[in-house]
Amino acid sequence: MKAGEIIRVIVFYLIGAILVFVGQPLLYRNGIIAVNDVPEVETWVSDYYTPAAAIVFGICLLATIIWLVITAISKADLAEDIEKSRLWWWLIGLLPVISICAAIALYKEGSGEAQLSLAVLFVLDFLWLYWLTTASSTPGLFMFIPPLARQLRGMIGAI
Amino acid sequence: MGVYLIGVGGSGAKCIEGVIQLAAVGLFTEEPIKVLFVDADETNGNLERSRNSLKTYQRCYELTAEGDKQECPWMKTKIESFDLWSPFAEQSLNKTIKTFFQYNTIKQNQPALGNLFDVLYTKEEQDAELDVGFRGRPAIGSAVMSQVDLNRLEQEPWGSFIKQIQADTGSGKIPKILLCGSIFGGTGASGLPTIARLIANKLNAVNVRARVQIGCLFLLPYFGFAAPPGEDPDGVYARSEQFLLNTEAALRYYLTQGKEIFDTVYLLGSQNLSRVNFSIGKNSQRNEPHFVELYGALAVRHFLFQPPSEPGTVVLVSRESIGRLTWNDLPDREQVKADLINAARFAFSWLSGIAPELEKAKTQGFGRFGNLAPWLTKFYSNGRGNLPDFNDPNQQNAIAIVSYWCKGFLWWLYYLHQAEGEVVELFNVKAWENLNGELKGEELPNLAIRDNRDRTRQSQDTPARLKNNLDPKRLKAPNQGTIGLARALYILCRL
Repeated sequence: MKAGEIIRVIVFYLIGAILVFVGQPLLYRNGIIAVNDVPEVETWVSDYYTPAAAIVFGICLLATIIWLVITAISKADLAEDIEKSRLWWWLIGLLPVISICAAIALYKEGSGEAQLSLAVLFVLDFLWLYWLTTASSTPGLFMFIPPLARQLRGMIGAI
Repeated sequence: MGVYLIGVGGSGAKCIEGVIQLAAVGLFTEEPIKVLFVDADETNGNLERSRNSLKTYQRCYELTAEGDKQECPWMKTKIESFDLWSPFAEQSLNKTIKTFFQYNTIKQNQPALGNLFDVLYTKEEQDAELDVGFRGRPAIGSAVMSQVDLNRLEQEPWGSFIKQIQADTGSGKIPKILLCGSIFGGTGASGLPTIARLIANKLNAVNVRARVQIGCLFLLPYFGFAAPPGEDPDGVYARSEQFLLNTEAALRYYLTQGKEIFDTVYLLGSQNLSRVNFSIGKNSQRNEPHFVELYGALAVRHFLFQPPSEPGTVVLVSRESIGRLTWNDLPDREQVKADLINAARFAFSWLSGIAPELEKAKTQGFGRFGNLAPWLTKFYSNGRGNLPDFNDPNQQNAIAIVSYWCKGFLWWLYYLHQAEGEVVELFNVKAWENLNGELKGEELPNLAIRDNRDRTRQSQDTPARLKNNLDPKRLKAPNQGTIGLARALYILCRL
């Protein structure tokens, strides 16, 4: 991997961590996203939101690392082999999706009202943490495999 | 320094083919080389192949003409051609020695001379059609060639040839003329001394001989053949069993006569005679390249760069062991090895990984394919960006030219390794023994024998890494389109 790609992954994950563990809880704490079926929002955030978000964050991080390592060590150079890896991106991407479902299922007793907002936020987190990092920073000949990676990398000047 | 190379006969043409290959890999300077083929057999297969190699080279050279040759030595040297001169060029019918000398008239008007002619040439030799060459008979060839008098040098291409040499000397250059051919066959053995003498005489006549260096490269026997069963045993054709005798006689001639003509003489041969197919001439006389021709091209290089300054100096090049050829046996081996490996890796990478992908991009569409081959998008566009349009016929034509050169170069290298009774250890040519099939890119790190890299570097040497490192930004213009891609790959392929 090139230094720029590694730096981008780190920066996007740092921003992601701030969004997931600081920004999004603030939405609940300030009532921007209302959660009325819990006695105390602060307790719900610490007891339910944070563990669920940590699961999603951790699995996204794991999925990103798996994808980046696979592509960084791969010796495939022909288009047909590169194309096969497209399936792997989606399969690895399933891990965060499953983690979102699992996290919501595990902590749904905390608040029924928050289920929808949590699902939306976690999907956005998934997009930021997995799609954005892989689309902007996948190394080598696999760089355009994540959907819209060519356009994204063109926009940020990372081709 | 003007450089003039004259290939006489089939072996001379094959030596020129070797020079073309070495020029392509950057082993000559940017000084143009001007070549002239001399052959009575205009359809000779060896000659035809050499002329085709030259055409391919020139088309590649045109593509790279504007590039910085220091940065990328591929196709560094411009090769110009005077094309072919044949002593029978003006004679369309009855190309026999009898007709050539107007035997019937001589016999009638000067019976004694006619009788001498009968003594010197058998009936079969007198009637043999010479449009297939001189049939391994120097006696026939030298008689025909000796009819080329100085005045004929005013004819093309000789007129232009001499004028260019005069122009070179006039501008203070020291032109170098090297004639190459076999000493043991027909055309080379007879044509080379005759033409060299004619040129020397002409240069004397125009008072520039002292400012011109003339060298010759004689190929001693290095291949042999047997006439197929059923071939007339008394027929007029080359016999390899006579090669050594011919050689011995020719060397005696050069010992006494050649010193006046040549400033430098190169002799090259091989103890092991490679078997080639029997052929009387024409298109079927098409022998595969032999490593002696690599030495021949290196001798040309030696003549241009470092000819012995002292008259009578004898320079020897030989092998460590008979029957084996390694990098250590090549003169100027560091440079030669590096440049040949560079070019072989380039040609192999192009044919195994780049050309097939470019072909797929053409059939599948540039836009879709670009996602699977990001290197492609660095050199081409789909017609909307600043980069050359991938579908532009000029770009596609350039791809075909580069691929054609790569195939020809690897083919030439392959056959250098096939000399019978010899173990040639320069490249693992098995990697490209089937050039029309699919080449396996993973062979890339193992192409050169003894490339001296440690295992780590060798394991990192992958086609994927090459493609990933293709970057026009690291290259001076022209760095876009097909030629940018080829130049970028060539530079990356250097070990």
